[in-house]
Amino acid sequence: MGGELRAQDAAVGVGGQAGTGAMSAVGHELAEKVGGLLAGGEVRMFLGYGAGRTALRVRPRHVLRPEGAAGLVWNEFCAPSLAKYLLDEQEEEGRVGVLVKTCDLRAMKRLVADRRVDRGRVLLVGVGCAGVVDAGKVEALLVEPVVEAGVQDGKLVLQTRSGVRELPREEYLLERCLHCEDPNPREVDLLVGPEVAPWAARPRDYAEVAEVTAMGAAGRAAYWDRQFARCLRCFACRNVCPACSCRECSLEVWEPMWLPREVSVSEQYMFHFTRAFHVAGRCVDCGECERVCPVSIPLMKLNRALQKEIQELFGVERPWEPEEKEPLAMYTPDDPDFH
Amino acid sequence: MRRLERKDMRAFLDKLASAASLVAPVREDGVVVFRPVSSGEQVVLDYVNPVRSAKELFFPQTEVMFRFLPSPVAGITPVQPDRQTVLFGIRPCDLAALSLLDEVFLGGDYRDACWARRRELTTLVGMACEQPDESSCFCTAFGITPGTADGADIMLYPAGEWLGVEVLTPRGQALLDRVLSDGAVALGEIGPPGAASQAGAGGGAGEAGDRLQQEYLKRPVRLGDRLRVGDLAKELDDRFDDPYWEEASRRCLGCGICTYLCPTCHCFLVTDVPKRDDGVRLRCWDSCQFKDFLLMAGGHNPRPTKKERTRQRFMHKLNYFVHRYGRYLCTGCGRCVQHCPVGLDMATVIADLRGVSEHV
Repeated sequence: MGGELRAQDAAVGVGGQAGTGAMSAVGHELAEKVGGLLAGGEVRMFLGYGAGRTALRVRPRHVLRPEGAAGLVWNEFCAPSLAKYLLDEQEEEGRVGVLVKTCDLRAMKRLVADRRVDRGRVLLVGVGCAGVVDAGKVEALLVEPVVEAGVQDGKLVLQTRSGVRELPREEYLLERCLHCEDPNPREVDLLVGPEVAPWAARPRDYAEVAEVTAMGAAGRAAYWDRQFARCLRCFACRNVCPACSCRECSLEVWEPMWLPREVSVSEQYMFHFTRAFHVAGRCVDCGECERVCPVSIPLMKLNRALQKEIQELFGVERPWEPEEKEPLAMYTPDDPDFH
Repeated sequence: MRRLERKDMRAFLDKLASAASLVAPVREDGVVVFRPVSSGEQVVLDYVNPVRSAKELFFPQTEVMFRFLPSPVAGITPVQPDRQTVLFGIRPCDLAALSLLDEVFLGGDYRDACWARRRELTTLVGMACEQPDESSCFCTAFGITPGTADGADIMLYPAGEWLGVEVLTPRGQALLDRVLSDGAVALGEIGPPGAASQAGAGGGAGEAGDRLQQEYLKRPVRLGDRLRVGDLAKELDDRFDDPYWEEASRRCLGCGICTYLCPTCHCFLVTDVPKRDDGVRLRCWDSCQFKDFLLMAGGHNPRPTKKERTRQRFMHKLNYFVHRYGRYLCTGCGRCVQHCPVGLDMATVIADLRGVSEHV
């Protein structure tokens, strides 16, 4: 059965469960290089992906010993950004290696720009990425677990116990991948796998923002009331966000209590708007907040709305790039509004 | 057990809604959640389990315990819910979770008035699981099955064109009497000649109902069947210092998804919100996964790192609670399995601790 599933090209391999599926060529190269880095003492830890419960899921994997590198995988489902884990590694000496796609590299740069991660203590291993599949979207269609998954002729081929299901791959990619301008991360320390051919990235047209704007004031209020009423205040959106790296989050401070522990619709607005404004101009547009939200709150609509404002008001062309200026976080004496 | 035709389901739900405040699964922006509904139209029946568990109907995320007035007219007014509620569509895992929480809130010397009041006011209409999610449901690991009705007042067993209706308590009977009182909805008998179903074919009505129930009680739940816990609690007595906890905890994000979606997690904090002329005492959910959860005045934190916090969550459910109450504090609902962004969930941890494969 596994023989029917082949990699689309050399860039994206067929992932699988540890020890059962065929690991991609890139996965092998990665495991080998990481094993070498750990054995040679160039890094004390490596952050990559390991197999998850089904073929659609991967897990962040912290590799501490050279022999652990064999458990690393690289496939179509490696969605989670690993950059944020570096905040846990600030105390200990020595470099940490981390696998980055282009989107993850932006997250990395964000943490470096915010002085939360020391670039010199990180070894970036880049990997070309042809797009990551939204596992949740696929799982919603299936009752049986996917035991093997891969890509063939632009189709996502999913093997379940009772048969094979094919889906148009592009429709199941994470939204961020459709806008990806360069599938190959630059300025990294090491690359694994071949260059991935770029595709025609869709420009950000802010259609999702326009859709909400068109609802009118009352419609918008009803829309967000309903979304925020589902919010658990679990803080997963914050914890996964590369622009949320404060040592102490103001939303958790008791004195003064900016965010009461009470969960009501008005406090939910306070929470989500505070967060959206705090990351405005610094959001790297990775969409991780929305991806991990267990109750599907469309958080990127808030982030995108602010992104659009920042483009229009301050002329920042690509506010999601950490190299761009941050109009909400800077001061100039020649500010026309300066008093 | 009696028989409710599926085509009469909407009318049945309408009657429930007119008998009491009805809370049922609805699909909202693609997500299934329990919500108050006013008619059967709004209710979805093709759901696995609402993403937010049934616990919040009894233990709301924010609960006003009482109002207080400042001196000189100092006084306290307890705030008590008073609406009769019907919770429709609760699954066996969430039913079991309520009985576990009864141990905590009602079982000891102290009886929690808020929890008790909501339990008294709510009639539970359970729904057996026709199609457990194979990648995440694992109730059978803890001896619960797709047909376990313990704790329900009325249990429904889907059987194709109809549903088996079993009344389990006097409260359930009283509700059903009200629903059927004006004759707009009627229940039929299962089993007599003419009833077209495998479960109903042949035998008396009682026998056919039993067969339907048995079929649900024996229905396989692949992940759960693989993860049966057995003596895990005992084995964990010696594994407090297992290096596994540190290893596993590395990938924890420190968010509260697992604890807040969990139907059995019940940690809370109590906080006073004074206003100018009065104030309220609130009880709000809290999570042992938050780093300030045990932070003391003076700055000491007994669980300073993710290792201690991860260990706490799993040891509490798989060991400490078992010592105290004789039952595991997990019902295999699978919400953490489905939603933990990094796969540090109950199924994974049980599989890791027991050295078995969780792949189904």
